[in-house]
Amino acid sequence: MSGRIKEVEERRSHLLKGGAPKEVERQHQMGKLTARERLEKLVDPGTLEEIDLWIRSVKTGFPIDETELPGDAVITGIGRIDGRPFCVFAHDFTVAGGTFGRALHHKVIRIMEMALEKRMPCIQLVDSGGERLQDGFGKPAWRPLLGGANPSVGGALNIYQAPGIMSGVVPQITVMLGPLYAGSAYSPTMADFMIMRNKTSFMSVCSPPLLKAITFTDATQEELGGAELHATITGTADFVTETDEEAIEICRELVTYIPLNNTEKPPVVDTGDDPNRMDDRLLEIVPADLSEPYDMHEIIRCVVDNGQFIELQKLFAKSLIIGFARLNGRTVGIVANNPGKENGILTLNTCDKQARFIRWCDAFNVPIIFLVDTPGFLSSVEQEQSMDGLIRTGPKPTFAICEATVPMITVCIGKCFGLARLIMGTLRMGIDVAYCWPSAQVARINPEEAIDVIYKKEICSAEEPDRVRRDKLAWLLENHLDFPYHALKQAMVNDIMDPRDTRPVLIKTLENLANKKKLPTAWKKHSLVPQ
Amino acid sequence: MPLETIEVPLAGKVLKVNVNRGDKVTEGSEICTIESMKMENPILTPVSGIVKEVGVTPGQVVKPHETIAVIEY
Amino acid sequence: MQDNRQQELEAIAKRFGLSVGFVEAALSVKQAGTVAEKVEAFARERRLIEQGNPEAVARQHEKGRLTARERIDALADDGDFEELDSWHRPYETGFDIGEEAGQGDGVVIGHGTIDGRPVTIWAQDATVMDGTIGTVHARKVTMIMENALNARTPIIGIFDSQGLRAHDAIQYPDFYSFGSMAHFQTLASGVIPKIGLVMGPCSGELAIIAGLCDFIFMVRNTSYMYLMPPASSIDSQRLGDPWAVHAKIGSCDVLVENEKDCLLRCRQLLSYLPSSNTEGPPLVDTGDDPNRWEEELLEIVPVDSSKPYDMYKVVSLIVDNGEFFEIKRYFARNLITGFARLGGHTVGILASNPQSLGGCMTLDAADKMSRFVRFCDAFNIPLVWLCDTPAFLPAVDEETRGLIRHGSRMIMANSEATVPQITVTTRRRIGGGGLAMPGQCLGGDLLVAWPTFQSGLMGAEGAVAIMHRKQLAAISDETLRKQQEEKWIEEMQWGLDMQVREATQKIIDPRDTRPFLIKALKWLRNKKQDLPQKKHENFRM
Repeated sequence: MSGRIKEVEERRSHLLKGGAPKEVERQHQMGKLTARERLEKLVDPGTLEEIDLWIRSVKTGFPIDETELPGDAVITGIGRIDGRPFCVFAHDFTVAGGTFGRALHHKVIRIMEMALEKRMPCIQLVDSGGERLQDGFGKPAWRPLLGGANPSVGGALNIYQAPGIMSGVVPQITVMLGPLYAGSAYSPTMADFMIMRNKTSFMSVCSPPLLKAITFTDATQEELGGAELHATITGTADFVTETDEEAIEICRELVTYIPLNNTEKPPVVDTGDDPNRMDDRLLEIVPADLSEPYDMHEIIRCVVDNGQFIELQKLFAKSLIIGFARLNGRTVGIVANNPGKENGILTLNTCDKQARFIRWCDAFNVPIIFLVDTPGFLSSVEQEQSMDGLIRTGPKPTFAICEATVPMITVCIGKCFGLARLIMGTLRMGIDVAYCWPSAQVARINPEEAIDVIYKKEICSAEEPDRVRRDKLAWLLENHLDFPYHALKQAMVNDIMDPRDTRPVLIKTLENLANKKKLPTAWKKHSLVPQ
Repeated sequence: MPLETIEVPLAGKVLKVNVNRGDKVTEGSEICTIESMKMENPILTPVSGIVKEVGVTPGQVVKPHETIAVIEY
Repeated sequence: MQDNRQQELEAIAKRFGLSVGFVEAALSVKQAGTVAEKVEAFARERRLIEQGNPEAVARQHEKGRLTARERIDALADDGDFEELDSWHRPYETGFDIGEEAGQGDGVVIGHGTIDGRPVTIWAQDATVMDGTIGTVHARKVTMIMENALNARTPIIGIFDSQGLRAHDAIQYPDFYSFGSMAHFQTLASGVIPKIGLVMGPCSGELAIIAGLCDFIFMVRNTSYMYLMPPASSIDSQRLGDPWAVHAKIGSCDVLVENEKDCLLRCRQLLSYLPSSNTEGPPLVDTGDDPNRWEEELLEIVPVDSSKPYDMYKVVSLIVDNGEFFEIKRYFARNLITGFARLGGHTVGILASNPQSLGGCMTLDAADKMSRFVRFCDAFNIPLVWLCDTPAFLPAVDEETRGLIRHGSRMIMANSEATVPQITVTTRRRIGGGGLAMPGQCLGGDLLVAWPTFQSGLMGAEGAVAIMHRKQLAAISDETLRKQQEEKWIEEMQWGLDMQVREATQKIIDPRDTRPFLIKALKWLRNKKQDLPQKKHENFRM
């Protein structure tokens, strides 16, 4: 037996090496870690339980059959992060460029099914040349067992279907460390969070050579699907990092905020921060004149535990901030306008960003805190008539808030009128408790607009319309829209508070709301979220 | 008389051009054919009128939003 | 004496914010001695309310628009509409808002039938204070939405309003307003069909409420819809032009030429839909032979895949009586979506259109597909795909707009759908395009193809160029290299040709498509598939 064991260990250590030494060296030269090195950094030391290391690639009828492909270019398994279990997989670029062979498909689907069935999050580290052509054109393509549709053995899922079924059941995180092109790129994109490494990871449906061949157009990898593009313009990536290590570190930090599945709550962490801490800085941040910019991040940092805030999509639609923080050790999702960038206006992109985040928090039992100060949308023909048009995108956050059943608390810090209230949430839409600061200006209609409607005749017929408008506005602000009390009197917010109390009040309210449970409503298969 | 500008919908190569300046065209008739994605894509005019300008020639490689033709209707 | 009486009436009218005529009618209610007289007197009041303000009605007609009640008459079955809350009046604001004729507060609500099936209707009345939305107006709409949800009937909203009534909004609490409307729009989402007919102005918060409907109809020239009031350079009609909303933004599902047509089309659409998500769509006796073979289907699709053909023709030959209700016709024309019937049962049809962008999938087409699939899935409508797509369109614009993000949403929608799903490949199902039209890989039930089927990740030439790049480059003689390349391409093509047989469950005779689909749908009629418990998926927005 000991001879056999020795042989097993020799064979195993051979497989563990992955691709040929020169491939490993090349990977290192590109400044990238190998798949195994990445996984070692991702999970707690020695906790990776690998599955199907020994799998044999499916014969294709092409010369590639002669090459040994350890693990068929992917490492799959279950590992622990801070002691909690996660399904993980990493494409091994040193083996056939990390391409998707049939055996790889099988392994990946298997690990996704594990995540779904055993209710663990799934983390993928992507670095792949996409579909392996030999498998796509060779025998496996027409062999029924693994052919055509690539279903997993014993199951019906495939790598494009599984993420959709898992979505909203277990959290999914993609860490893009290398390229992935064409249809294959859809699978990792369905994940909830995406971390992309700058300069080495590219993700697009069309690769530059294909674009050139078919449409005679030149474009670089960066222009078509670089990390920067996805972080700033398409909004597909949540984080951009410069190294593999950094990307993996962010992933490890991110998962501390999230639950393992949709029946659990996120872990409670002892942060050591006093729940009753009052921060005097909160008195200074908001300027007397609300049209002046200030940085909402500062307010967030003053309020949350130890000032720790992990921001998602930091570079995309910067006038709105989303991310996770803790209040008294419990995870909260924060949605905040940022008057420091473009005055905190609402745009097409902020709507997409906000709606998706709210829906994620709702699916995974994370309470949401809204910090509101926005002038609303700009009147812009460009945004209005763009292909994603405001009227198609605008309803998304409204819908997301109305649909959400997790505790939601609003703190109105500055302006919020009319349409913007529908986007940022009102009590009628399901916000549980709304507070305001003394600086708040909340009304069902923008006072300037109200003047133009109510006193249309007077203003139009006046010799000095501006003066009339000014006088009427002053009268209106005094008699009807007396900020901040107006919102309180009209039951748009429940109470007004000292900004320094924000943290203790939020913590207390969250505790009160902790058992919030959706009232029974009409059965539905699913909602029809505006798209 | 209003002008309708017909733009290239997708990058490709012009296979043939069926109209000249001054021609009369009717709605739905084929202005030119662009080869792209290994397909012949007929470009139809959405209006009836007179061709004021033709912006492409056969064999030319075209990109989206380039002008194919301007039609007065 | 007469003058005194007139003055008295005027004083009462002023005090209660009523018209003098209405006060007279109210007086006769008061004075009525019998129930019959009271009935008659109240009927007089109602007639006054329904007549409305003749000047305002004339103004509405001048704009080419009908009044709310005229619209409802055309929409619901003859004389079959029960109006509710018509006496309700706007809140006093202390401003002059023309409230003396404000009964109903600018909205008509109630229930009626369409083709004998109950529906709930609310229609904004532009002849009353421009249809502006005050607290009472919002309350009426909110409550009728809740009624519709509880009664499980479709709800039709007719939008024609200048938006929020500022006078009211600055004075009254935020109990009934857009927030409560949005709340019920969302609760009802996926439970009952919600149809919005935008037949006049619709902007600001109201556009959000309209945007939460499942289907939006718009009338060319007389309606417009936008979120933010325009800056000075462009007028509101142009900013919210129905054509742009339909063809470019894709918010408008059905664009019609006039109001009558709009209401008729809405009736048509409803005939395809179930009343709620717990029912199946209505079965209609279309009289079309389920076994009808169509010889013409043999001729339509050219074997040469570079030649386009008319997919609408294919659809019309297959479905009952050639009747096809198209959704979002001019938005992302490369994908055709709409409702039809097969053997009298409603199906959702999704078809590539080889006449537009070569049938390529695009970002907009992905959005169009995922929205349509989600609707059909929620309302038990089986889906039939007619697939002829070479790929996703390679273009820089598409990628930078977020093609992957939108495409992945479409795949997720297809994966989650549990209604019967059948894909018929008429010619090409290649590369990522194949993902768009789900076969078994995304939980589809059946995947069949016509004899013109082509499959694969990409063409043989492309595959050889990539796989044998090095070997080819190593051959210095050009003729030899060409020969070798051709040999490899032929080999590779054999792989693809073999794949045709495995990548589909059956090759069917095009003429047999209709009988085949009807039989398959019958087989799948009781399909039930459960997914893991979840609140909802997490779409990429």
